[in-house]
Order: sequence, then C-alpha cells, then structure tokens
Amino acid sequence: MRLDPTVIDGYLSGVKTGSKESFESVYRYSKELLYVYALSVTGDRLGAEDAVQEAYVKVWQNADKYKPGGNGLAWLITIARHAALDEKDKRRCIVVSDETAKKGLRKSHEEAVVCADYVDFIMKNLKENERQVAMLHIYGDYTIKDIAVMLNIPVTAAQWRYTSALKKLKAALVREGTVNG
Amino acid sequence: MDELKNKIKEDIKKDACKNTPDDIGYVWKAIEEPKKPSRLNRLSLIAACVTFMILVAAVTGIILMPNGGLFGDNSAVSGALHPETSEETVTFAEMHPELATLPEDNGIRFIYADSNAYEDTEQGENAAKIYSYVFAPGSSLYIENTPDNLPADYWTVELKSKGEVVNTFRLYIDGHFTYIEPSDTGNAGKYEWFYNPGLFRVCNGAESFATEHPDCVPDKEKLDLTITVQNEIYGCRKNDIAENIFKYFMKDGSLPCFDFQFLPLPRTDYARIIFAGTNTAVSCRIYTMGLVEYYISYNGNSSKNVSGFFFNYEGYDFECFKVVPEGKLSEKHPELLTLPEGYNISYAVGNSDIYTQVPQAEAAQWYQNVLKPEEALYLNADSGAYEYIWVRLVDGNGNIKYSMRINSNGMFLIETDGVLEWYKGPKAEWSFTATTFSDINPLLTVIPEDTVTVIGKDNGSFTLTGKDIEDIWEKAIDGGNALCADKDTDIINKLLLDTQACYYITWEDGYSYCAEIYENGLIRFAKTDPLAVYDSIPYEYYMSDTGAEAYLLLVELTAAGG
Repeated sequence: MRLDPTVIDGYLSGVKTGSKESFESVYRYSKELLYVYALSVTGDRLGAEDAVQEAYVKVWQNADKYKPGGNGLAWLITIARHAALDEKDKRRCIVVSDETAKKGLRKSHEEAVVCADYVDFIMKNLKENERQVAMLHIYGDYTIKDIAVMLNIPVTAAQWRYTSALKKLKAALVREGTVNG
Repeated sequence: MDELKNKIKEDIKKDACKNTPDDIGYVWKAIEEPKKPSRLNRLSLIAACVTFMILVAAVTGIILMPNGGLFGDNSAVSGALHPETSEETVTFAEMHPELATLPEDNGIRFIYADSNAYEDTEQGENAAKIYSYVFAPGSSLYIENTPDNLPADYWTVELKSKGEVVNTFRLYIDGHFTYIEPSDTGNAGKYEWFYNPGLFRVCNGAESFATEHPDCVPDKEKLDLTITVQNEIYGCRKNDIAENIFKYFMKDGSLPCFDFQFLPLPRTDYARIIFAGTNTAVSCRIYTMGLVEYYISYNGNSSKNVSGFFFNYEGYDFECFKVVPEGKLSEKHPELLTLPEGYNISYAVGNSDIYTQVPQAEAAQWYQNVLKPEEALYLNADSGAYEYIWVRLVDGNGNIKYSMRINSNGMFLIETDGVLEWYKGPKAEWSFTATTFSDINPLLTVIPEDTVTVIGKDNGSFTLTGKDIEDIWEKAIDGGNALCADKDTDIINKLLLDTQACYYITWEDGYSYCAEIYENGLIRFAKTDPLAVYDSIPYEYYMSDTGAEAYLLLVELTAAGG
C-alpha cells in the first residue's frame, strides 16, 4: 500500500504532457490512498468520495504546474487536502468535526464497535489532524518522517499526533470493552 | 497493539477499496464541462408506478408492515394475483427453482447501468441475504409483457462463480427486474420480466422521513441549506426552495427504506443538500430516481449520528431547486459595470481576514475577470458555502465602499450600506497576481548564519542557527511567494497592538532586519539602514500559506530551549 514516489512522478510527468493513459494510471495507483487521506480530513465517507473526485479533476486541470522529478505524492496529497477542506467548507454546518457518516446499516455506535468497524471508530474518536497522521501511517505504511513531508508539518508534530492518536484509540477501545486494558 | 493496527489497516483498506471505483469514468465526466441535469419528465411516469405499487401493496399488505426488518422474509405474496391480468401467476422461484436461493459459491455483483462506472461485489452469507432480498424468489411475480413506464435507472446484476458470470439480471429501482437467459449474450431478447413488490419496505413502521427523524425537521423559515448539483450551486435560503425541500423531503412519501449499501449509485448525477437545524445537520445525496442517502449529525453528541436511505416515489427533479434570476446587476448597480474611477481592490482568500491589494495597473481588468459584471444576474437568494474570496472596493479616501464575497462558481454577494444582494455570473476567473516578497526584496534569499536572534513572547531570546534559519525563513516568506497584505485591514491593526503575540527575528548584514511572525501567518517586515533617519519605520506586510508554520516552529524551538 506504500506508494512509490518515483512511479507517481512518472505518471504525473505523463499527465503533464496530456496523456490520458498516465492520468488513468495515476488514478488507479493512488485512488485508495487519496480516499483514505480525504476521509481523514472530512471525517465522512460521502465527503471523502466527492473530494477524491474533485482532487483528480484538479490533478488533470493543473498537471501543467507539476514539476517532474519532484515529490509527486506530496503534490497529490496537497491537492487532496484542498479538495477535502473544500468539501468540509461546503458543509459549514454545526457539527462537521463530529461527523462520521456511516454508510452502513443503521447501527448504533456500540454495534459498530462490536462489528469492529475501526474506520468509524477512528472518525469518532480522533481529531482531524490525528486522523491524518494515523491513517496515513497505519494504512499507507509511511514513516512519520514521510508523513511530515507529505503534510508539510514538523516531524515532531507528526510524531506527537500519532502517539496521541494511538493512546486515544486504545483508551477508547478499553472503555468500550473491545480490548483489555 | 500490532494486532489492533492490523485490524484497523484491514478495515481502512476494505473501506477505501469499496468507495473508490476502478473505472475512472466518473472523474472524466466531472472534468468535462458540468452538464445541467436533464429535466426528467418523471412525474407522469412515476404516478403510474405509484398507482401500480399501491395496488400491489394493498394486495400484499407489505407497505407499513411493522418491524419489516432488513432482508426479512418476502414470501407473504406467494400465489398473489397478477396485478395486470388478475390471473394467478407464478413466482421466480417456481420458474427457476435452481435460483430459489443464491447458488452456493456464487458472488453477486452490482453494476450501475451498463457503464461499469461503479460496481460493488458481495460474497458469502451477505451475498445470499442480498440476493434473497433484492429478487425475493419466493414472491417475485412473473410478468408476461414488458412493463410500461420503467424508471430510467437500473443496475446490471451478475451472479459469478469462480470469476465467471453464470447468470445476469437487470434490476429497476421500482422493483421490476429481468432475468436474462445465460445463453443470451445481449441481443437475443431471451429474458423474462418479474416484479418484486417488497423491494421497498418501511423501517419500524415509520411513515416518512419526518416521522422517523422528527428532531431533524428544521423550522422552514430559518432553514439554512446548501444545494449543489454537480458542484453547481442551485441556491439556498430562498423560501420557495425551502418549500420544495419540505415538499420532497419532509412530508410526501419519503419513506425510510432498506439499506442500499450494496447498490452502486451514480457518482455525478446527484444533488447535494445540506440543511442545519438547531441541534442537527443533515447531509444528503439525492438521486433523480428518488433515492436519498442521508447522514444526520447531532451537535455535541456524535454517538447519536445516524445514516440511512429513504425513497421518494415521486423521484426528484433538480430544476425545482433552482433560483430564477430577478434582474441584472447592470440594472441594480450600473455604477459597478466597471471598477469605479480611483478605486482600489483588495481581496482575502477563504476564511482569511487578511486582505491583499491588487496592483493598481491590473485592478480594472482583474475586476472584470472576477465579476463579469455585464453578464451577472440578480438572484434574490443566498448562495451556499463554496470556494470563495472576499473582495473590497476602496475609494480614493480609503473608505470601503463595497464588500463582496465571490464564489468560484460565479455566484457573488454584494454588501453595500448594510444591504446584501446575491448575483450569479459566469464562472469567476480569479488569479492572484499580487506583489510578492521576492518582487520587493529580490536579493533577500539567504540570511547570514550566527547573526539571527529570536525574541520570544516572554521577551527571552536565543540565537537561531543552522537549518532552523533556513526552515523558518522559507516558511515565513513561503519561498519568496508571500503576498503583500493590505496593512489597513482591521485584523492586522488589532494584531499589531499586541506586541506579545509574535516572535521577532532580527539580523544584520550592514542593514538591520526585523521580521515579526504572527500565529496566523502574518509577517511584518522591516529593512532599515542604521545610518538613516526615518519618520516612521518602513514596514512591509506579508501573508503566506506557510507563515503560520514558521510561527509553530518557533514555538517548538522555544519549548526546546532554543
């Protein structure tokens, strides 16, 4: 699941020349990571799906601005971040940060935990900036240092957010009785 | 903890896989110029469907059946009379006993229309339940002729074994479906029609979305909502639009229905509506077919958050959400067709309170590009949140005469003398060609090491060294791209009054330099000649996306003891 930046760079260099094949390749290669990242920002699946679509639209429309040889992954993540933040902004409603947008059956939170739907669990228990680091690290196998570069934040901040995320998750799971203390 | 991480990873992977289709068609569609949804003449079609379904429902007693749980038993209608011929009919299971249940080892795959734009495959026990629910083999009725007034939306459903398609169906949202003979490769017409009257059922006996979620019905006079169709804002905070929302969502036939999680839905042809009440916010995706996926957020109590689907037999026509223009900008504000003589323009992006001045030489053209005033129409309706900038027109005496919020989709708000008016123009084209730090200070790219002193909030100081200098300076001026900020902005003046709110970075190389870095990313910068005499310090003001990070770095360095 860890994406190779050189592969992304190759695809984006192709997209820059107008290659639709390269665009479709970079989509297939990176769509799941971008979705996970967008989900960590929006906190809800509907918003994340829309953000991913919008992000790739922007990738295509702004490909001429990509500098080949650069960090293509960070470029994609930046675009995804803006798209996801736009999605959140569109809601401008009262409870955005709490939103977890379960798309599944009508389960209460407790039921969701029993079903081990950890995605919902993360949405509910972690702050946005903790989710970003935790989901990229756990899902994408990226090191904290890599994530700091991707998110353009200090390594210490990324490390702190990840540690905090893990503590909160474990505490919440213990509280729910899903794992032992 | 590793086990926990593995489980989390597995769930995230599953979620990502499910919600990101392999086929990129939906992205290409969005890249093309957004098409206005076709005005579907569905009402007449659906009226016939409703009559038909009510007839069947009356016979079967399924609608309003209490506690009709998810994937419940649909066998109550076996042996029912055929709704069109009044003759006793046979069920799907009787005609195809080998398909009375999902054959062992079969998976079930749903494809929206034939496009492959979005598909979803279920396996195992869940697949068997879905199969049983969707096709209800024991109760779905054989229909001799092709039904009239079929909905436009359908799914291709494939039963797959070991990767091979063994049976194919076409499922319609109203419960009709075809079984296609395996030997029919597409054009032979070897298919049979069936009707599953139990495809929609009411959850827990609820009669409408409003009765299921009464706490989510906002006061329509205070309705705060946003409607977008393929990212085009259709309007909000407009009474007749609110009436339509109520008509379609809250009252008439909007029945909570079974979970459609397994059904892939169109990725572009839907409207988004978000409306907020006192304690709730409801986010919906609305499909013309009448299906609505919703998510309800409860303010301050996320454990109550809930999602689901409901179905409206009438379907939806997005045109009813549109706001009809009621005039032109040229009629209401003829003085704004061009930038008034002697005026300046400043803008702030998104939620920023920092305004940047457009260079005077470009201001008139910039104004035309952003506002397109000749073509703008008066809407008398509020636009929802969107990507936007704030723009101010300032007269020669420094008075703010007009304040405007301009959405990238072309809708804009003009505030003048306390009056708010919404307009809609063509898509706005704004570009940020304002003066940057490197325009004004082209030679200041490097700061000499060992001369940089940081003065913190508590007046303590330390010397900045090595890569920290480069990091902080790079972020503070965003590699030279930091934009000149309008120093007359209120927020800047307020900030500057608080001398403890920033870090000071100072250094010398013959000139004396001082950069004040504020938490919101504002930089106040001054370069002075130690031998010169100034009436006032020649401050420059900048704002950059990364300025706030420079501030955070300084916080960290201070905490680490410099």
